[in-house]
Amino acid sequence: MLLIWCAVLILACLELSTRVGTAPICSYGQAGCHTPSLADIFDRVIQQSSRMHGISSDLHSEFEQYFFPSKNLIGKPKCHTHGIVTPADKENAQRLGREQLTEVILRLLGAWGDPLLQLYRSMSQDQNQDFNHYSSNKALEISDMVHELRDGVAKMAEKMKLSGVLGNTVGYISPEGLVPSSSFSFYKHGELNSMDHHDLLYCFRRDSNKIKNYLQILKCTTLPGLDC
Amino acid sequence: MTSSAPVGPHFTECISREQETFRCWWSPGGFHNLSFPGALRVFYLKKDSPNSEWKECPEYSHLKRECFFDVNHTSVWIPYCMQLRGQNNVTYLDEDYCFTVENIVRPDPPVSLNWTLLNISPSGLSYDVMVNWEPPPSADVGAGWMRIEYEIQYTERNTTNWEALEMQPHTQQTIYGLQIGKEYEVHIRCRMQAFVKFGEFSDSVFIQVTEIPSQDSNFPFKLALIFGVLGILILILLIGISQQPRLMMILLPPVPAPKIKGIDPELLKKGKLDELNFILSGGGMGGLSTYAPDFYQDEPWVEFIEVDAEDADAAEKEENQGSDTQRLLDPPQPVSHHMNTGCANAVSFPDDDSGRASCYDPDLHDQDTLMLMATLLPGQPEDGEDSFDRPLVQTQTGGPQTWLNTDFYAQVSNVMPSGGVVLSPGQQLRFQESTSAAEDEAQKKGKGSEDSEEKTQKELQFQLLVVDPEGSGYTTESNARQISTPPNTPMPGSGYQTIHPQPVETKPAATAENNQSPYILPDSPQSQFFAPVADYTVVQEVDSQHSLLLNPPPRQSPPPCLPHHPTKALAAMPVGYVTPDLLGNLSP
Repeated sequence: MLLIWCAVLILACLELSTRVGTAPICSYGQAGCHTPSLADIFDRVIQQSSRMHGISSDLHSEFEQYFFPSKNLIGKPKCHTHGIVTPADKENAQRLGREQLTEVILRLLGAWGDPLLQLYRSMSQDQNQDFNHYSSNKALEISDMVHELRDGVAKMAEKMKLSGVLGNTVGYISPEGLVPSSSFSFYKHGELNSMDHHDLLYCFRRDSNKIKNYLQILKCTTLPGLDC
Repeated sequence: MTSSAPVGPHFTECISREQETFRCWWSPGGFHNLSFPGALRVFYLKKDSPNSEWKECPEYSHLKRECFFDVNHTSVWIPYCMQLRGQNNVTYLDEDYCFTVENIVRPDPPVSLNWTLLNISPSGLSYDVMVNWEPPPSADVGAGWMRIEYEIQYTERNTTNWEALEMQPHTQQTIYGLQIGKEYEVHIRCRMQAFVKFGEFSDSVFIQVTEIPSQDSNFPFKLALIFGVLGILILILLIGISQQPRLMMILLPPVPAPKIKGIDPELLKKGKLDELNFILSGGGMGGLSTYAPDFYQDEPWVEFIEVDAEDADAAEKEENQGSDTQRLLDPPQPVSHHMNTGCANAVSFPDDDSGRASCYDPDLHDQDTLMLMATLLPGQPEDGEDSFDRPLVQTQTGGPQTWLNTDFYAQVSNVMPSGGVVLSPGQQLRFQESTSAAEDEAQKKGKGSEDSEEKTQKELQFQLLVVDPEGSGYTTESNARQISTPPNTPMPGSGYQTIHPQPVETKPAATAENNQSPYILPDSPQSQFFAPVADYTVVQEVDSQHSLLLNPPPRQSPPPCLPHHPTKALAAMPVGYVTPDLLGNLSP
């Protein structure tokens, strides 16, 4: 009797543990979670990154239009993600390999979670009512998108590992390990002003474009298909 | 204000075609002394490290005043700043011209622009066209390095109001609503997704669809129409001319009319109901016999409505037995016989099933009988004495005929205080039946226990009061001593029946009789009347058990004050209800 109970318990434990490992991947938590294919995940992730980049571009151009008519301040701001080494052209990106490329993407995404949230808070609290509600909502939107995208890319990496496409060198990257926790202090101590907003947005626009491009390269090297 | 100051040397534009290389063009501006080649030099600063330096253009093209940065010198997402310097390192620009490569991308135009006709509208005035193309070969879309979206514009030839279609990333698009006969010019351009700068337009492609001769499409249609009409006309003519019976049968089958075997179809026509009734009721020549003339000799396919001739004579006799209540109240065996006859009595089609369908199901009979008995006799006490019920029912089984020939619905004419109900059905009573039923009842009662007998006897008083004067449907059930019916006071015309007090002498006889049976029996069974029922009966008195008596009890000692006065009064009273003041006189 006792033996039987033990056997049942052990089997249940084993099953649970295996189930955790093979949990179905549900990107963005849709209901009725059937496992999407890798191609589907790629498509969604790339769409998300495209949208994110588009919104950040809009925000940045709004800033430029209203606050900084002169266009030649480019090059001045230094972004807090400069520490992350990123391939700067196509060959380097392709030469990097899938694992490292994925790691770079995850690093970038991880680095932007907090700063964007800070940006949104700062924008919404701004006494200067030149910001319309629309802009601060956009900031919130891209802040959410970054988090979602990071989860999505992580799942995608998992799936790629499972299907053998990706090697196991891509480890779990904790967001704290990427950039110093006080990344925001890089920009300015204390509260942010519009200038800081602008710098942030410029940096994010650039980084979101990097993320989008890297994801595209990753997809087209992994699954060459219609969109490539 | 006119600017007299000459514009200095400046960069006109820097463009990258595929995000892998880029070019910059400059202009000397108003300084014509600097227009010779080599007068101006391009320097750039690539801010990829904190200590980066200004470098000179890697590749000049002085004729075009262009500086080309190849793949090795091009880095995306890294700011470049450009400077124009003269021979003596004079910088001619106040501000550096800075950019990042992804922001200066203008893709090459798409190639292989082509179109195919999709469809033409039914009116023949407009058509849709599918345009397809290839992405610019320089843009490495295959590796995912660039994501491009396209914009098509079209216009009528030799006009310049270009209509732009929506941007989309696919390499084909449909243009709707182009007009036949007009020539259109189409070209396409593209840009990177989420960026602003468009590339150049492609070479134009011309679309024209001329009119298709429409007579061909209409001609067969008209011809077909004409032929169709002609064909129908010919067919109608043929039908009319030939009048072949067979053809007529196929094309215009006869409408079935009622055809009863043995009856002249003429009689079935309107207005001849009397003759039909006569025949059906069995009169005349026995029109429903099997030897009836065959009126439908020439229509062998006719199906007949058959009327069963055997029971036609006994129709009247069967009428009562075939009544619904009869069937329901009868016991299973005899009633099944009744049922069958009832069924046979009904109009039955040659099909066996249909005949029986209109009859009651014999299987349901038993329970229904009991149920109906219970419903028709609601005077039973709350305890629901089944023992009483069964003897009552079993009396029915004893007799071949029912004791109570009532309609299915019986009118409740009065309610007793004890809960009994006075019914007034509309049919006759068979006294013979009730006699035999009473005898059986006595026998059955003997079977029961003494207690139950007493109980039942007592209960009889509370049972249904059914008055049975001269063949009415009533049978009153009350204290047996007290009621007797006057058989010889017929008042058929009246709606009420008054029951007059009998002489006391007759009472014991009736009482004795009634002791044995709960039912009221008329003294002379011969005096059966099949008169229509009395709906109401005058209540003469209320006895000690609170049952309404239709005959007052014999008064041994009539009250001094009112010796027969109430009865006399009642006797003298015209037929009607007991008024409340008289009711007081009735109380014992």
